[in-house]
Amino acid sequence: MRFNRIAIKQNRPATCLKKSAAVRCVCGLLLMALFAALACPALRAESPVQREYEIKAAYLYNFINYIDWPENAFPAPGGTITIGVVGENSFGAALDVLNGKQVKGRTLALKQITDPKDFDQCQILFISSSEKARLPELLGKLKDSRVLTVSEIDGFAEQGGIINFISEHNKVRFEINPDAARRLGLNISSELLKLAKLVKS
Amino acid sequence: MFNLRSTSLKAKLTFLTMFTTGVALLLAVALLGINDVRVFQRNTERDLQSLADVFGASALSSLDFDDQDAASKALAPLEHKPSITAAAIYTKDDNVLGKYSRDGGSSSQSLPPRGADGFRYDNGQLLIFKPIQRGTNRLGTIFVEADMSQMHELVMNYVAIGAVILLGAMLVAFVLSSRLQQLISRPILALANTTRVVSEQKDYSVRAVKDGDDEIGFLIDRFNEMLGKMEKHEKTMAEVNKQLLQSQQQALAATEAKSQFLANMSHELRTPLNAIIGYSEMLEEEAEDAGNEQFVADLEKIHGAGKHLLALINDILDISKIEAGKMELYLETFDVKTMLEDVVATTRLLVQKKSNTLVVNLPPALGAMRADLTKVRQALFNLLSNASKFTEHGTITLTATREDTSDGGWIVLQVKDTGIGMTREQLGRMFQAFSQADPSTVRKYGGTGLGLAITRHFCRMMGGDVTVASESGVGSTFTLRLPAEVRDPSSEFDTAPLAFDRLPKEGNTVLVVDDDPSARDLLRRFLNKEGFHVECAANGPEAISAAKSFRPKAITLDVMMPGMDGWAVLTKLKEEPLVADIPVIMLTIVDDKHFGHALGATEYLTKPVDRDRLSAAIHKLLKPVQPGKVLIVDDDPQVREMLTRTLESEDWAVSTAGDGCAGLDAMATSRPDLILLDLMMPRMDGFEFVSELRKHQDWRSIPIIVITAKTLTKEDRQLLQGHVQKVLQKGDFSLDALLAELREIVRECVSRAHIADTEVQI
Repeated sequence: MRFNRIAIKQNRPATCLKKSAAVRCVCGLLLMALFAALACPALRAESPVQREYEIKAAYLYNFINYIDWPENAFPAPGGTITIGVVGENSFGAALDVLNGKQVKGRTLALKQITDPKDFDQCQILFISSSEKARLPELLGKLKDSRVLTVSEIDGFAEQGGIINFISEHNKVRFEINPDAARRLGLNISSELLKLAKLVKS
Repeated sequence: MFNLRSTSLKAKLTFLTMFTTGVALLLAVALLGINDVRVFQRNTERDLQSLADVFGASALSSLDFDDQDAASKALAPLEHKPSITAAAIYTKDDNVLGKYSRDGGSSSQSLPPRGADGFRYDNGQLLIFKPIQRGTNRLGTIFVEADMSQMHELVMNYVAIGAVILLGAMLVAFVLSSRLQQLISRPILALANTTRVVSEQKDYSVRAVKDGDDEIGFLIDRFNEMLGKMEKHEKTMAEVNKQLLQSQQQALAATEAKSQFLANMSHELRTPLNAIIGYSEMLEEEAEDAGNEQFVADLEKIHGAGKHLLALINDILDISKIEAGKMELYLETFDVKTMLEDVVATTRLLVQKKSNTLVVNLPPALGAMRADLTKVRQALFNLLSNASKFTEHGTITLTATREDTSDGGWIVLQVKDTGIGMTREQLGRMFQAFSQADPSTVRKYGGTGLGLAITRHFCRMMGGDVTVASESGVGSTFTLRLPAEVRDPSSEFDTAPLAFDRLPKEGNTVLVVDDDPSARDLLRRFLNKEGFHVECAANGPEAISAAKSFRPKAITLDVMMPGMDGWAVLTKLKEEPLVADIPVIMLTIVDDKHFGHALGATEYLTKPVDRDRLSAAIHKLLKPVQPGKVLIVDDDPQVREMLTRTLESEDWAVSTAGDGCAGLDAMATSRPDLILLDLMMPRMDGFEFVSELRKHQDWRSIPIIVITAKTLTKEDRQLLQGHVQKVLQKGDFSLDALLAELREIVRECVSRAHIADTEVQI
């Protein structure tokens, strides 16, 4: 039966083929436009900023799958993975949803960090753009902590941070400084590296 | 579609082998092909599945981070897999994240919307949608599309390979089977050939050659065995046949000798008796004239004794002929009433001898019957003379009736007397030859006791019988039962058309023209009886050509015929100078006499044709001839003298000859108008004389009347058939009766002299 259909297809005149291709092309475009519209933050009554932080929150969560921490990065075996936020928390509710989720056999916890002494309790530390000014100080304090540092401040990775969110073509992308990670004993999956813009200190 | 059943065994065997091989191969190739295609399909599916797994996994990170470039890049290595035409990564929300297309990005639009998980065939492509998962968490879907045109090629390959294999195999099968089939066909064909030789040449010495000990070998053995038996039987049969033929020839020769002896005896015995009876009769008359009463009484006794002796001799000859199986039926159609009156007239004297009264009961319409007239007459005569012999001062009653039945009807003749009758015991011996009621009867009543045996035999020959009821002292009743239409299985030649075809064609031919076969037959029979030779034509053209070739004396012409009608035929006939003078008698249901005569018809009769009118019409056309010269050929001078006397009194000019040669000499000097001929003569007998006569064109039409003492055999009759007018039996008639008969025939012949060579039988 299937061969018959092939035969029919072969017998079809070229114009017909072109026409069907055109129709399919139009349909595809329409669908994509529809998806784009659905994905548009404005339509969902969300501000672009909110949307951006939702994505960043999701990325934070996803990073966990591509990064291996050394055993001593965790205070207790089988314990929690803590995401700490330094400075102004722009995520709002977007980050809260991650609280208590299971990943890699561990439970996620969120923590607002104010005291640099608490840095070691976190495995991921998000440094808000509000801390731009005291970034060198913070990075200096984190020099020996086995913490995945993530920020959204230009030049963060070059200055010794590990992952830095950047904006590219209106999309949230990220830079990774693999040397910094390697120095701390964090192993970043090549899969993740492939997706990132790699920078050096 | 050729008929396999009627082809030769060879072809059948070859065909069977090839057919079997072909079907088996076809099945094998087809099954193999289907299996291969299925395996290919399964493998493709498995390949596709693993491809989807691998590429789905590699696209996991791009899904995690919504990276379109990475997703497309992840799919890029598919270009090393030529069968994959398209692939795509869909996000959880079914948006396309990354895609791959064999013909470059241009056809990215042709990506289908995300479908249900699993395989799907579409337009000769194999499609798979497979979820991309981390653990149980579904992150997106991968879509891969494989081109199945390879499978199509595979199938085509199989078809091609199958065809090649099939062709090759059939060729090999043909070559092999045409050689190997001989194993089976050769012995069978050889056997068939042998049977053909046997059946065509009747040669039972042929043997089939045996090849092996299989079933065919067994068949050949049995066949040869059978042939052997047949050969033996054939030989035995041939010998037996030879012996049979010999004994048959001997028997035939013996019978021939016996019948020859009988024929001679009848001649030898009757000739002297003829003289005794004839001369005693003449002397009696002369003595009466001279008033010599003494002599008259004596001569009457001699005459009576002679007649008695003749009757006895006739009886004995009859019975010996019957016993020799030589008695033959001679069928003719005659009027029953005339025949009965005839017999009654001859027996009246006999009846009155013992003061008996003869009562005759004849119904008005007895009609005609077809039988052997002589034998019927003789049977009845026997019964009547028997009755008068055993009755004194009594009454003898003859009753005739006709029973009409579906098989043609019966004529029943009953003779009842008031004589001595018979006891039951006597009745039993009644019809046995040489036995009368009592030996003493012979002494008292005379006779041979053969009469009733002969009567019964005659009746049975004709398909009838004679029965008797009797009471001693009261009387006897004999009943003759005869079919009105006697059938003689051995031969019918008296009125059969064939016999008449042998008549000379010229002289008395009448052409009957009618489109209705039954009408033609009716006219032919009737005219035959009237002494005409009849030719028939069924339509106009036939009639004209027949008229030209036969030159008939007259033509009867039917008017209503399809195609060319009677009028047209008549006109045509009158236009032809060759046949214009032939008289034409129109036969028609349309009464239009004037028209007919105007066209030249001689007579005009309306259907149904009245026979007497037709007969009269034809005879009117034929000129009557005056009494003329008659030639008597007989070796017996007494007979010559008697006949001369009689005929001269009738104003005929008589010449005589002592044998055939002398007869021919006499013919040469003067051509007679009528010949009276004896058969048994020295030097040249009557048969030779007739055949000599027929050689002369001039003499062929002279009517001949045979007067003989010889009992005619069927062969004799056939020899004379168509050549003589009448055969008279010497001694069967008193001289007076003979002369009366002769006069009658002469008169008849005179009236018909112009219609030469008429067939008339006694």
